Amino acid sequence: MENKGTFLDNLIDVIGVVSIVALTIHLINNIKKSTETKLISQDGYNAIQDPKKAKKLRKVIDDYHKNGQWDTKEIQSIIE
Amino acid sequence: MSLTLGFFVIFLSLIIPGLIFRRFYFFGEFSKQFNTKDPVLHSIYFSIIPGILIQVFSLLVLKFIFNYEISFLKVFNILRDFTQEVDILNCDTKKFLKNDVGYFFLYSVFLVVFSGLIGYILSRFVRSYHLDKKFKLFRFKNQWYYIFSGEILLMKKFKEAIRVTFNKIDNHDNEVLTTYADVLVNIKDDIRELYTGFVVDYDLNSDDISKLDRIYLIDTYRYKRIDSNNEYKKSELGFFKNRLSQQNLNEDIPTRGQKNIPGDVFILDATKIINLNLTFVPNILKIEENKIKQETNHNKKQNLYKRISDILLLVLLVSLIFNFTNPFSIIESEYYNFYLNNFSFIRKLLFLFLIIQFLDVFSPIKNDSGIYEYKSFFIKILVFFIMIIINIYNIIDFYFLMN
Repeated sequence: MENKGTFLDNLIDVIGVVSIVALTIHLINNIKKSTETKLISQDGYNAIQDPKKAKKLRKVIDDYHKNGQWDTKEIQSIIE
Repeated sequence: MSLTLGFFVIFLSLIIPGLIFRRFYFFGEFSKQFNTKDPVLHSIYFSIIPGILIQVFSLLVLKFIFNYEISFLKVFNILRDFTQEVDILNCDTKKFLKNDVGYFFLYSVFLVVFSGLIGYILSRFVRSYHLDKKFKLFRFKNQWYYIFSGEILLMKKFKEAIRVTFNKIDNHDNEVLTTYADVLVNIKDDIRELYTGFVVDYDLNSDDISKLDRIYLIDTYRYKRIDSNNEYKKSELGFFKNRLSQQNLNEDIPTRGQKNIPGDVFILDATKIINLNLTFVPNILKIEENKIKQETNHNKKQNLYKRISDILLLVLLVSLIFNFTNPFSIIESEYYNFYLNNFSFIRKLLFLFLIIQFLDVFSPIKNDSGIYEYKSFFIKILVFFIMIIINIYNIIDFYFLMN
């Protein structure tokens, strides 16, 4: 009986420690994600890697320079 | 020898924690601010103050959290013996050398880890709450990161200027998809070239981080020099107009007189840059997501405020009834019955005002647009205190009458 209690206690201790470690790692990853210093977003990087999307993006930028309006639907289609 | 030993102690206790703190504080794109090529005196100068603060903070942590008893007088005596030439060592120093060197070593390890942790946490705190964009005091020296990432638009000066420019999308969180650059470069003498591309990276000058060394562009084009007989009109920084009919997007011919530079990454020598024009492309998806999140949070907050308002109204109604009467003798209390039977109507009214003002402090107000909000909190507190003062006579009188 005593051995079972000790085993249970140890198991709960291990689960507790693992939970704390997992929570700490999760928190650190969240902090890292919200404070990362990136020049270009992942969506942007994916868009310019595709030559067709890059061309579309250039057209959107050209239109923005001409009339001062962003074509939000076109940008959305490029990102998706 | 003692001077060298004293300097070693100061270096270990103050300079090293400061250096470790600075190493972890300047992270990512800002890590260039911590430069190992800096002169020694420069490093010491900028590390000594964080080192002192960290040392004091760690001692307080040890004392109040770990209940470790520290005698600052003993620490002072030991440090004095190390820094001055003494013929006879103090008994505290002898005891330290005999028994506590191991503990000092462990404390030093704790200090190093603690310094790194503090540096890490503080820098993330500053970045997370955008303190570097709100206040110059917290701003990192790497201005080029703020410029190329678009975060410069979140700074006060640019926020005010941006209202008159034509980026009309409501982009409070500055969600930038990518940065598009037009770069005018001086090749030699009067020969200049204009390049365009998407900025993916940059290098700073190792001696002076305020200067740019290189820019890395993807999908780079060079503006073509063409003669006037050509169907395209040339302009260095302006627009290209096509004299023929509208260009089809699917055609391989660019809409402007641009020449594609084949290759994966184009590296520009920044020392030859004459000027730079940046366009920040908004990340529409993220902006929409943020808008939805904000709306959801706003709705949740409004529901909560409405519930608070309803509960307080109910409490007020109950107080109103029970302040003047005890229906069906629900409350059986000597003090309450004494209050009901012996206090005049005016006094009860004054006491009711006190209750109303107390509830009003916690009550949200509905404005003309139907939105609940907390306003004029300090004025409400002030009025509440005034009501307490007015009711003091009531309270004192109640006490003496009861007794």
